[in-house]
Amino acid sequence: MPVVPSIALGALGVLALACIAVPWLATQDPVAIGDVLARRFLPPLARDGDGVRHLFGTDAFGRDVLVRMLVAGRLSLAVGVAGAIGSGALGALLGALAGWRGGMVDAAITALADALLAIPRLVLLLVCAALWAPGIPTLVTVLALTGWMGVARLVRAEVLGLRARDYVQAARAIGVAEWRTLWRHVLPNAIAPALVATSLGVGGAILLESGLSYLGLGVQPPAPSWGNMIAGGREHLLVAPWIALAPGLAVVVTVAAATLVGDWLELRLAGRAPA
Amino acid sequence: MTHLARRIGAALLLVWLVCTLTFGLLHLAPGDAALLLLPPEGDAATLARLRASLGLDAPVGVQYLRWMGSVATGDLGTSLASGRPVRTLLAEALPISIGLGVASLALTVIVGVLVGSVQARRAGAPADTAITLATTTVYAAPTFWLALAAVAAATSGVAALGLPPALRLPAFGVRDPGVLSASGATVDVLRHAILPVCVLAATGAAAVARYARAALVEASRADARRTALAKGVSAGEAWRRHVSRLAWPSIVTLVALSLPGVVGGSVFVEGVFAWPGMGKLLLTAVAQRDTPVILGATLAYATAVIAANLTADLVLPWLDPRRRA
Repeated sequence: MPVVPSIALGALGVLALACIAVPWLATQDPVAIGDVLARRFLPPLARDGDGVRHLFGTDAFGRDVLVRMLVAGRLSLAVGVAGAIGSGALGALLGALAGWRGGMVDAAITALADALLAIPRLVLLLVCAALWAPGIPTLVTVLALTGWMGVARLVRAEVLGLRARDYVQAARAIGVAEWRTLWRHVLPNAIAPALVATSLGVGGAILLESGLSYLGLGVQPPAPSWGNMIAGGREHLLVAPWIALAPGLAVVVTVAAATLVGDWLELRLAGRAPA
Repeated sequence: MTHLARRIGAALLLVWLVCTLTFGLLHLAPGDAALLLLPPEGDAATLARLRASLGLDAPVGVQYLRWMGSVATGDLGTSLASGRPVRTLLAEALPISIGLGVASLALTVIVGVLVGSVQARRAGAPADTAITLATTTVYAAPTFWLALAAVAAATSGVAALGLPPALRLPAFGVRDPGVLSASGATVDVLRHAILPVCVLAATGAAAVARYARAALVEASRADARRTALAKGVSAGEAWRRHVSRLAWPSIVTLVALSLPGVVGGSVFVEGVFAWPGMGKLLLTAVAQRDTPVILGATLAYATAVIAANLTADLVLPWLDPRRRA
């Protein structure tokens, strides 16, 4: 494994571990508000009255930005990964169905994908997030429902090519059940591009989650997410820029690392240069 | 000619599909416009009257046909929040978004393709890896976060570093109401445009550079370049005449495909910089659950994307002789 993707994978691992471990390591509460006047707007590295050092400073309510950032990472990473896997699975299912069945089913799925692709994904997400009650289940569902089209196209093309192969014809000829042929003989060979697209989709899903939470349509305060932390720091941008800086850097590192790992997977699995 | 007609027909069919889809989406959602407009003291009779006046008491099929009929004649209804025609609201917002979009898209393509080709010429070298890291970082940054950073840098950052006040770029709005002369107003609008256009172009160019690099690297591995080099064409000439010509069609396709991303970014940019364009209109409408405006803005965005894809399809045969019928 070359240097850049291994560093990226390492960074992702460290960040994910820190996010998972933070409830057991942190001495500060990410949500509770204590002595606001004594603790608020402490710059990075400063100590508060109790002698506790705040590596990334504190926010407008005197809460530690680093602890909040890591707790937010639990939600942001989980929503991003779940959204990407959801859209990947939905895309693989619909793409396989379209490629395998052909005819009307294929036409309907392809038309739906084309129409959804014509609406910018953020606009689609805004419309959906605005119409249903905001929250994490809505967020993951909506990410899955608006992100499956690319994977579906890839899988459909693969399945179309595989359907005519001799071993698939042979499986059908000896009377293997149709769903079993699809599951055992076709899908395993069609799934590589879907895996690559799903891994590349993680970064996109995290970015979109942060955008929706920034607009107040995603994860709702007081639960911290990277997006709503940036929204909270916006009002204090000129007084305390670190409040918005830390969660933004967390998004940049995560998405850049996920993209670099995805590029490498694409090169390895699909055998072509990243695009 | 038949190819052109068929492509335009397919694009129109797609616009109709998008209309149907957004209509269905809005009708699947819980609650309706009458519930939003109902005053707190309203009773069941008021609600029924409101539903009837909005046409919401009709069966969904009838509502759909009525709505499609009015969309076909260019009538997008009236805003629930302001009571103004959606068409007027869109007409006011559209020039601002088109200005922002066209300026940043032009910058996106120029900078993105330039950076991508610099990388592709040195594929695998340390400089290439360094630029890939840089473009991936910009690509990974949320647009609204970059916009906030630009606002902070152009206001308090410039002041803190003691730079000349000419560098203190206006961070909000499209124009300064204090500027009255015509030439002053033009300069003022341009100064207001620098930050939003640059932020939008930076994220777009990072994505296009990634595509362009990949397309050019793939094209440089093709036989055409090896043959050209073998017959004694210079390396630069081979790159210009054989590699870049081979890569252009895929770059055009990918730029067209990246347009929805630029649109998404522009929604955030308009939000942060308080530009009264389509994105701001949509954000306000979403916050107020103003369904006619949401429908109108979604349709406008989708039409722009479909038109861009159609243009790319029509330009491709001109760039790529293999696609000429």
